[in-house]
Amino acid sequence: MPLHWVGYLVVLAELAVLVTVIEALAARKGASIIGLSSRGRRLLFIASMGFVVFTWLVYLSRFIVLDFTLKEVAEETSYGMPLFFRIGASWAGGTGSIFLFSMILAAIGLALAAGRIDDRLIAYHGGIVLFGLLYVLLSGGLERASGLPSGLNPLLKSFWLYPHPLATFTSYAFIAAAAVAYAAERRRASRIMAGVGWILLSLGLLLGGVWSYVTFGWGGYWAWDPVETSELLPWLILTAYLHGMGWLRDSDVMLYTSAMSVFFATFMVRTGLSPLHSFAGSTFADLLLLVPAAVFAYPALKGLPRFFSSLWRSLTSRKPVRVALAATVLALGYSHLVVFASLAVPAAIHLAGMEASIPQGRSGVAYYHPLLYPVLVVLMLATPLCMLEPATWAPYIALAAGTLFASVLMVAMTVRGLLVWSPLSTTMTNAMISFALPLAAVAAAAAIYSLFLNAYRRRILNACRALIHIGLAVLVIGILVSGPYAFKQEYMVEVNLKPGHAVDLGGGVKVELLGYSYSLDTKSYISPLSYRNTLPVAMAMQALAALSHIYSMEQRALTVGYAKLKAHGLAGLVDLEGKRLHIPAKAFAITDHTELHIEMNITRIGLETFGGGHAATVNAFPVMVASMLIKARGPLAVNISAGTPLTLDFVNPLVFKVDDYTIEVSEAQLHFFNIYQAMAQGSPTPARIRSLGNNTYLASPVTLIVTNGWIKHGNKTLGVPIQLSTDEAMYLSVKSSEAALQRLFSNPLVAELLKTGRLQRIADEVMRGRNLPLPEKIPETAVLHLKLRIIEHGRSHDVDASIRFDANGELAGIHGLVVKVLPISIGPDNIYVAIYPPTYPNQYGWHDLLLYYLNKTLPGIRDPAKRLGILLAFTAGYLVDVLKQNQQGALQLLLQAAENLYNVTSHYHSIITSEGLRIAVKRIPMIDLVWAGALVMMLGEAATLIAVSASWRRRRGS
Amino acid sequence: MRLGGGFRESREAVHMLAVFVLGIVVLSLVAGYFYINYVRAEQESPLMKGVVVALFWSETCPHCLHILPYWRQLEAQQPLAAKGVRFVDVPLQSVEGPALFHKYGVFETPTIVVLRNGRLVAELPGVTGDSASELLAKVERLLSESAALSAAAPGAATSPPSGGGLLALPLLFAIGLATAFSPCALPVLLAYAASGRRLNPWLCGLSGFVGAGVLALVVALAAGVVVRALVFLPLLLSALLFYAGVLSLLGVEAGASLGRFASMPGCLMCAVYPVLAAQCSLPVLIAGFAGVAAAASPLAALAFAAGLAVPLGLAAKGSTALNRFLERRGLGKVSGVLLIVAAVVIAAVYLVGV
Repeated sequence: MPLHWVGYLVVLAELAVLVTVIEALAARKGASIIGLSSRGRRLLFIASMGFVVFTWLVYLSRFIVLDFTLKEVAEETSYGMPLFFRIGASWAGGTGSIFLFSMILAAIGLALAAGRIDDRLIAYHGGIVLFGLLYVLLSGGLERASGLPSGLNPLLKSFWLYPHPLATFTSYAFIAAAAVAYAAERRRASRIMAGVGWILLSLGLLLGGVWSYVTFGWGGYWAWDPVETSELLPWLILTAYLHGMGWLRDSDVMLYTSAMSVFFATFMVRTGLSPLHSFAGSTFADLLLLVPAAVFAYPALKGLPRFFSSLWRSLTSRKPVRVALAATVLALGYSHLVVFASLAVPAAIHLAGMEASIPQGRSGVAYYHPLLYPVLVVLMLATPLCMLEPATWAPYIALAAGTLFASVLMVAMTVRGLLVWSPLSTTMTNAMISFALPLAAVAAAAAIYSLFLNAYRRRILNACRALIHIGLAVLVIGILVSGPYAFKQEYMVEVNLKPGHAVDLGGGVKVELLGYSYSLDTKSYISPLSYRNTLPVAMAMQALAALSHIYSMEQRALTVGYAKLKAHGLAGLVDLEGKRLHIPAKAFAITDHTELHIEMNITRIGLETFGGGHAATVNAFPVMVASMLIKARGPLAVNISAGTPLTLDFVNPLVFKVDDYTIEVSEAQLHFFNIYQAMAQGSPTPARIRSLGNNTYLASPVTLIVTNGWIKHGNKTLGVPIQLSTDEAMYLSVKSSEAALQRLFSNPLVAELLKTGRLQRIADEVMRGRNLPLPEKIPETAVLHLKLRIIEHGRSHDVDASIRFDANGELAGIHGLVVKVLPISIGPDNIYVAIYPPTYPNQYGWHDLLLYYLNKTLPGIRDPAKRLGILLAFTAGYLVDVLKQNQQGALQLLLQAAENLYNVTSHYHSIITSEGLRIAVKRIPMIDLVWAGALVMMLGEAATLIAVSASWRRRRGS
Repeated sequence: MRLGGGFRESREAVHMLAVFVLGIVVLSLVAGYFYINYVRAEQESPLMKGVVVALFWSETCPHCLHILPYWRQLEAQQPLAAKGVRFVDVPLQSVEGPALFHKYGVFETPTIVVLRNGRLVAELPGVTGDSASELLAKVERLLSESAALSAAAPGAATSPPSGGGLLALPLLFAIGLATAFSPCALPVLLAYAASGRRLNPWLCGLSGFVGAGVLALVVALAAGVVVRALVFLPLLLSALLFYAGVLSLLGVEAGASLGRFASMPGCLMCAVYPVLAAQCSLPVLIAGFAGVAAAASPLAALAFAAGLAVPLGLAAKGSTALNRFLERRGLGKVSGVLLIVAAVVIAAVYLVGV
């Protein structure tokens, strides 16, 4: 695919960086190519890094002006998108995010160039930027596109589009830069960048959790989704690095491993192994990301043996603080290995073309938690040692012993049922929480004590470190207590909220719906035409073709089939359906060795096919619906009940006349329900059977299917079963499913297209590869605005909330409804509230916003073909999960559902008053500790970095 | 005699002790908060106490909506209040609804359920009625059939045992003993005695008895309050005991030096001794009184005081075999063992339930 002109600009930037890198490498070997001095090379580096930043700004400008000819812009924006999201869309895609990463790296390079910079740093740093830009070029986002916008993923259209990706990719850039700076022996710069990278990566992880919490409506902040797990990977080993840095030899192995993990994480996110976050399919370019990973893996692996021996020496050194730090490094390194293996092995299997899955959700909890719990225990036990730095072991042993004793007591209490944290979790889970809590509490206490002691003794660096660990301990406590509640869906309770009513949410909180209103965003539009390749549109196309086909079949059946039946002499029998008949008939019959006298009053006669017969013919049987009086000679051996049919053998044929037909029945099947009613409803309604005593029964309605007999018409005699041609059989089946089909064909949209023959023409074109007829532009968003009142222990405050429906989500098959999440804070706890619009009370459960959206949008589409097309696409999108499961009847279901949706939408009025909003509620204890702890951790490290650089400056000055 | 291990070690031990106490405080805050808001709140739901007649209903069930107004009348009048029976209703469409329906196995609505202290004793599924009195009659029949109001002992909801009973007094005597052997303070006393100041053992013992008794009463009162608010705190405090015991066993001493007390008269010294000793053993006292004794029992206080006074008097005597043993590093071991034993016994008593 040809590149957009921005792509060529990036090629230029790539070349500039390439020249810079080659020149620096050559200069190191002593042979300069261009003949630049070291100052010249430095200027070249600054120029190329600056050019990369400039290129990114140009790329950003394409988003701001909505240049849909750039593929990345087309994939992530929509007509009339607000500026806020236009800028954010620039890093929302696979290409854009790595472009952002490269740009930040380039900016860091510029900052580094302000100080000393040697050829090694130029070469290494430029090298990573080189790879980043190469990925950007090869991943397809900079190609020329058709100029039609698809719209941003509905879940990304929120404020969190900025903080989380920005923090994450900036941190990745800093980590990579720290690793290369270390390799180029810029140790101090490396230390600062590693620290900044750690803070931002922690922030990125935290923001990812918060985003998930306030957006998805499940009430959790961590689900072991492969993208989350991938982002955790570099964090684990980077934290280990920060604990070993400075005193543990060869700890740079960990820094390189962290940089390797960064690229590995970006690769994992693109493999499609995660249901979330999959950028559109993986390409060759994604494999390219493994190259820098391998480049960083090399020095890591090389230094590994020496690193392990240093670690071992420290572990066995008997100095309490040394041992504690070494244990921390070991524990974090082990956790890194566990997580890495859980990602790399499935990725390798997936690359080899086989099916693989990564532990996630419940399986994630089952896999990771048992493996990582010992790490938590070790870290919490090591923290007091590091915080208090005792010179001998005895005092710490007493502390550890007392803490473990408390842990054992807590577990005993939990097992006894006195203190159960999560009633819906297993005893094992509760015991694990109880065991770890005293450890975390003592760790927190040690850190707090250390903070005050060191602050008092003016040891600022130690005080800052203590602050970090206060945050860690608080985070751990928060995760232990809130974890099961946040994760488990079983704690969610559903209640209905109707306008003017208040609902009790528990915990002393009530919520009331004061008012609501709807609006359609008239500024943002998307183009459905850009959704040609999605599953819903494909299904809609098939349904359209099927519709036309069914119609042609029906027409043929009604004409050709009917004619053949007439020739057969049976047309009159079929046409007896629906007429009110009262035909008496009686006879003797034997069923199961018992003689019966039957008197019946026939109210309906027809002809039905039940399958069977040869390939070219179909068997048909006369069918009668009647009320029947049965007198049995003796008790009936079989049960007369609705479920079991009776086989009747007539002693003398049951004969009756209707119009100019004479029907003789010699053998029949008696069913105790009305077969026509059953076909219309889908399931039989049992007949009313009254026992009149003396083995006499009155049953109504019953169905008698003639299995053997004669039909005489004029001078023709036909034997039952009757052999019918396929056309005649088709006519019969069309007649019996008449109601459903007629509804479909009389639908105004469809009828109009059928009348002019247009439907058949469009169906033909679609079958030949043309696209589904769709409107050029449709509004992107419909919003339900809510005014809520939250009442907490008597105090109330009003809240405006809105639920959003993004049309492009439905067309893409990922559902466009964005639930509104309202977390209500009570102390450190949250009452998690997720608000859904009401659903229409039929089997499809259309949600209110979809109905509103279509009600406002469909009439504006003039062309009935396009209206039908978009209706089918939305229906398919809404029911995509059901349709995927039910392959056989999918098209029929889709057509019927679309017809139903059209009707409901045409007569739409809001169902909030009748159905009420659906509210899902969950109470989550101590979740604020999770956010607070993480933030304190980051603040602590930030303070540490400031203190470190201040002390360097002091040393330099003195 | 040596007053303590290396000065540094002693300081570190003090830090560790402070950290441990602070850790227990943090743990108590977390566990206490959770207990009060989640565990106890559920136990104190109106359904868990006494005899309750609850109508389980659902908004989507027409029969329910039919009888609901009559049931509301019963809830307003509470006609069986004199017999201690309360009328309530549980809608399915509420936050607690589904859990309660599941807990009591209600599948049909409307269903009337009779609960006694939270346990199901009778139910009447598919109940119908056309007036409040008709429903009341059905409820009364249900109550009489199920003997829900019988005088049989009401099942107690899970409440922690107040424990102790027979064991309380000897245990508190033992705690008194352990307190006396406090590594914080006993060295001071021994040094005082060895320094030649006159110390009448009987007088010392008596003063110690009085001082300890006062201290014990104060602590018992405080502990009583603490017990009611945080039921499991004594259990955690036994952890403190354990910790102190291990510390002692390892021969780490943390505490006072002789200097401050050199000029004090003998009996004042002995009276104040319990407070000194309590620096290290305060958790001992709180745990002992809270976990074992049910209330501020004067007898318990006396037992403790006696336990403390006896060794005090012996120690004051000066050079006895006991003193010689204690001087030879035996102090730590005795104290440590006593503390650990007390910790384990209190924990076991509490958990097993007396």
